[in-house]
Amino acid sequence: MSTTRRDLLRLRTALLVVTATLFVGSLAAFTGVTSTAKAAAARTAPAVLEVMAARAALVRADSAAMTSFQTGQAKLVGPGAQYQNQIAIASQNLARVAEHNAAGESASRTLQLVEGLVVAYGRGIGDADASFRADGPTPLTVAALWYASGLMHGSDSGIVAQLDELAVAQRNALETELSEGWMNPAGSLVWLVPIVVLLGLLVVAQVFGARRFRRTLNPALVAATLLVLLVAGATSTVFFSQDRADVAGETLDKVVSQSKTQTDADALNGKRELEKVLAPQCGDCGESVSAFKAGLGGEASSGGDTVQREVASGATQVDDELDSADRSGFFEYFIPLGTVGIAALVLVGLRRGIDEYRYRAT
Amino acid sequence: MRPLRRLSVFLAAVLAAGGCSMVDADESLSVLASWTGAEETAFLKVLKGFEDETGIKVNYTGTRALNQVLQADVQKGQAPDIAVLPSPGELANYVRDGYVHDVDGILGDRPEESYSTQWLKLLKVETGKIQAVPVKTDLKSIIWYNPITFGRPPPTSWDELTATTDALRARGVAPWCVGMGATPASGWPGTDWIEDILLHQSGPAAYQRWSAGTLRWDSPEVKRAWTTWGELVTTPGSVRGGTTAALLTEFGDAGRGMFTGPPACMMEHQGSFMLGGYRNQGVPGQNFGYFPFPASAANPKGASEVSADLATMFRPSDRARRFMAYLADERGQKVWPALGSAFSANKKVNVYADDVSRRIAARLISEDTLCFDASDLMPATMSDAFSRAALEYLGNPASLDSLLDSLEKVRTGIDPDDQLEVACGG
Repeated sequence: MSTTRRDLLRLRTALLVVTATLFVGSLAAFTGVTSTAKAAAARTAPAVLEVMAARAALVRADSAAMTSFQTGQAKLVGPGAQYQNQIAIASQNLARVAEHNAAGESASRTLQLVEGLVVAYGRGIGDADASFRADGPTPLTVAALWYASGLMHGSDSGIVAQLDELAVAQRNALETELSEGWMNPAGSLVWLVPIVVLLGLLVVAQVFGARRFRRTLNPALVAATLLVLLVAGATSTVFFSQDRADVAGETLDKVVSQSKTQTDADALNGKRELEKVLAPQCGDCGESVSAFKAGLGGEASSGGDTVQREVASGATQVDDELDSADRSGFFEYFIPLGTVGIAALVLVGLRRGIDEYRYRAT
Repeated sequence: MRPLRRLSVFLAAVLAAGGCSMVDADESLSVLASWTGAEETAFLKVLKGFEDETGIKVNYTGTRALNQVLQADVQKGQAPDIAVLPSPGELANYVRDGYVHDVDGILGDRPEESYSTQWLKLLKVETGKIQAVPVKTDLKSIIWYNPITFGRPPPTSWDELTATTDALRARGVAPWCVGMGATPASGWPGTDWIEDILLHQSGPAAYQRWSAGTLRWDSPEVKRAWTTWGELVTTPGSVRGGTTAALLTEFGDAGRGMFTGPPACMMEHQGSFMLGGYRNQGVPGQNFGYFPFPASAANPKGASEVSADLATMFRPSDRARRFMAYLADERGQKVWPALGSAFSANKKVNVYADDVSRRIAARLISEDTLCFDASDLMPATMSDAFSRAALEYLGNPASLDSLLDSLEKVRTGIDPDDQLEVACGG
């Protein structure tokens, strides 16, 4: 076999192998990034937002119940319609957290604990309601409200603290999802390296052809080079997707922070109502109540509806940003077809030279 | 789903399946308990000793929703290898339903060298075979005080206790630190009071009948225990801030009044687990100490109430049995007590750093009668009603008859098969 033919065959093999590598790498990177963005939009980000929504609803329920007992409305309406509505909303939020949970078994356990605590909290408010309707604001009524408030706001073990833990777990799961695997910029090497190598081999093939066959340019290989650049362009949309996912993560953090600030202010409203309920019952209410009163600093809730709207709008924005990170569609088909086209053009471009040297000695 | 993505998903599923099978092949052990935070950190040290010794990895899950999680796992057929139950009542339920596998034999041929006959009997929960290992135990029949401010010798009889209470009250100092708050089970500190009074007033036999559901709640013995408690803590001036403050104080906060200047209260009836919290207030033996709940004619040997966290084997295997043997043995038992916040029932453990701890530990391993916390033995409905009744009684002592009547109705509504007769060892 002539050395030229052997070199051409080697070059063709190398081009086809690298093209096949590009096919696998670019397709995997593209589908990996888009499916991750899609999963984050459909599951993980909503899990974080649902936890915060449950937190907000439960705190509002608590605040509404305390207000109802403090004002005496409870004699007629118990903890009130607002309490019932918010508890129902929180229950739906928690069901959706269970559905979307992306933080594994540990988060499921925390969720089970929260659900159990919410049941105990509801029972505590029910006890206070029964006692208040029967006897008014007795020590037992106040104690029942105090225990319920402890279940809600207990510093390490309360419902709000557990939901914070759950939100962090879901956020960490999202962070992992959006920063590891195909979402990690280093993952792009699996298609960037084949692109560079392929372009280099195509240049080598042109130079080889120019020297051996005295052709200025091989049109098929020029077309293959252009196609490589187009496939590279299509695959590089993963950088855009990664960037949108990062932006979505930042927006989500902002939304979570806003929601937390507003909910904490709502929580303070509820605690201050409870303080008013406690005041007439005892001059010295003991160590726990003294510590509770001392901790009632900070800003009470104001402009809650505005913040609520901002949170809702932020949640929509997160959804939109993650949706825009999903670039599947035309590119999903173009990338594999383009690489198949590159392989075909390589075969066509080198065929004449290989055939010419079939029977030559050099 | 688009065809190309289908391929990616398929490949991912194949890889994931490979990964899962690798995990399954790994020899590890799942342990479920209720400890989180500092307690979890301490328990992980116990587990690490086992891992270092055997190379078997232990996957620990700590959740305060232990009952819910364990019940759900058991119902799904996915019980952990080992679960640490907070009460013998829970243990008895799972044993009765056939979910727990006994660990008879893990203590060798001479188990009495490690555990007193009391504990060996209690751990068999009426089955004749050892069903659990006590990971951590507590002595409950004790009264804490601050020797620096107490100003008199600790009472040794019931009369001395009431005289001390009266004398302190007359001095204008609240004799008792009481906190009933304990979310989500507020009221249990009151049940501990009633249990201890009944045990000491009426003796272990009456205590056993009561905890087993065969002594009526409106019986003279039980009623007398409630009224005795009422005389101690509901008389004005007995508790800092009165009974309303007692209802509104968390059990962990109540004892702080002993360390203020001047002290807001002088004595606290609470279990040995309080030692960890008191250490933040001073030195054991100097700033705080305890005296045993006073004996009486009906309980002359001073039978004591105890509680325990019990490790049980839900999925039998060689490695699970090795783990239970390690936990029961001195090697596993000494780790947590050495950290200064727990007590072992194992006689060979001798790692306690101060005299207060050593006295408590000595009582826990002695052959004197020990009785499990009665509310831990009662069916959940009964113990829940008991806790709520303790709260209501403090809020309105005049309602005692009505409360006892309601408790009796709860008792009669419980299936006798759900009651447990093993209250006291010895």
